[in-house]
Amino acid sequence: MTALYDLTIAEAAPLLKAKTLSPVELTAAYLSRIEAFDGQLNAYIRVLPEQAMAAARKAEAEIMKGGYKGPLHGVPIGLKDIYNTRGIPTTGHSALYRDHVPEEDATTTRLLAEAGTILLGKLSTWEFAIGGTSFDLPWPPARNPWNLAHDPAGSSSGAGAAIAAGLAMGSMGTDTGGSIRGPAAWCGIAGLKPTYGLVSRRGILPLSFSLDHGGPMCWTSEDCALMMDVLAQHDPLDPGSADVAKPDFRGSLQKDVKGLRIGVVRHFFETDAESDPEIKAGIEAALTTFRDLGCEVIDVTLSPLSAYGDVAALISRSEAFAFHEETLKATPELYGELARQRIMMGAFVRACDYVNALRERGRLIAEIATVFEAVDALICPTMPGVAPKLGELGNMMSRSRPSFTRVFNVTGSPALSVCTGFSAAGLPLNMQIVGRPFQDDLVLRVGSAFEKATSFRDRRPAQWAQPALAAE
Amino acid sequence: MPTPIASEAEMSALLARTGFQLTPEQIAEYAQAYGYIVEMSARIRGERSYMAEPAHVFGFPNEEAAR
Repeated sequence: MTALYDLTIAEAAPLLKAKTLSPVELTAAYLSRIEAFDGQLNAYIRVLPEQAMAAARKAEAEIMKGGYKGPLHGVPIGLKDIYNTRGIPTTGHSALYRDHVPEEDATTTRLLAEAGTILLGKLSTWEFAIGGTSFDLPWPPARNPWNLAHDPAGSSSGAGAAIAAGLAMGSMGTDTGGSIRGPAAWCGIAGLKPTYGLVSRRGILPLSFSLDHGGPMCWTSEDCALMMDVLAQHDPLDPGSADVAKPDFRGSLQKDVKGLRIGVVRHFFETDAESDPEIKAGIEAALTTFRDLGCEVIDVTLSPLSAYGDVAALISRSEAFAFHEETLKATPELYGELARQRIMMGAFVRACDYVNALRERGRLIAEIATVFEAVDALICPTMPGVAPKLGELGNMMSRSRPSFTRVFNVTGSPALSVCTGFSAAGLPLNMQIVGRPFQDDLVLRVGSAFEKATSFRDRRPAQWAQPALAAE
Repeated sequence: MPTPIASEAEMSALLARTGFQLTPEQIAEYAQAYGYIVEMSARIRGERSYMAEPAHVFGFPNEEAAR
């Protein structure tokens, strides 16, 4: 017997399709869990029980009439609260937008609704996806389900926490410097930052338009693939949206990974920013798994980590400040301290330095393209350590913390975080799998093959077990 | 943490240009962190061929391109 909240989307979909599992039953189970547990986790800013149950009844009626739409039909999800939802407040976890009620959905919100998903609620985030773990906002920060004293990472903190604790089956995060992959890493789930332009950002509160990405966060890479089958659509209303052929994400998971060439960016985590021994051990064990699966493992060299960090910081701070300048000047009291500090740094970047950062970005993109001539995927950690205690992250400039994730915002590459095991303290370890632009399907295939070859997807945070809500 | 690079006078001038009214404590914070910006900006400068241009490109709206 599997508890409903332990089902993946891929496991629930055939039950929903076969009418042996009701979307109403499933949604009610999730709402019950949210009510029971979210007071401790703070994964949700706003729960939508009435709307969710109404959508579940509608989905049930559609399926019963033979109108099954696909694997997301009847699946309960959450959205980071920077995704516009028509008629439902979209706050950015900020007092500034406390009463902001969008008149239209984000493109991704609409696509997921059209696919038949059930929106359970809006998820916690760092303020405007930049502010850090803050205690001076209208809502408390999310906590890590593996240990409530620890940080779930951000900025898609609620999305990571909700998936790990079984408070949503799928969720949407955004990623400007690692905000999907960081929470995925520290919460022990799968999170994909798609190729830049593959998923529309229309209707998502911007942070840094040339580095922003929206993407799925789920328990498994396979579930991320199911969501990408819906999300990857060209959107003429997003100037950054790419008009490219859409792969069959789920179908590609059936292909073998044997023969793939896996490049390891060893200098990132051994010399540029030495990672914790447990993270490194997790990577080495993962490489052994890939060799066992028939992959070739090769060490590769990129520019030093700091080169990417400089470019990412100068661009993101400039673009964020350009967006927030007027409101920050007019109503600074409506921003939390961390968001104000971080956004304000963009005021000190000169225009020529921003342009030079863009030029350097071009060089780094060309460099990684050359490396990808010799490999099919890259591996490095997502985060250099496990989740620290809440409040231990720095407060002013994230530049002082080495980041393996920002590298791939700079290059726009698809990058997936997966769980590589658990530390002695029981916190998730992590790994990042990176691919060529628009080979998100290959990245998900590598992640899914790894998850299926290991047992880390069998372990959930124990304290959230609730065996009363179970399905045959 | 980097050594603050801007003097109090330089920082005041920078902030005056931004138009923000900040407390002395906030100004001291930013003076400290400003060092990071200066250091990062210095690291990304360097000799580049003009073939490295353009940093920016733009596209015409679809309707314009279709005319």
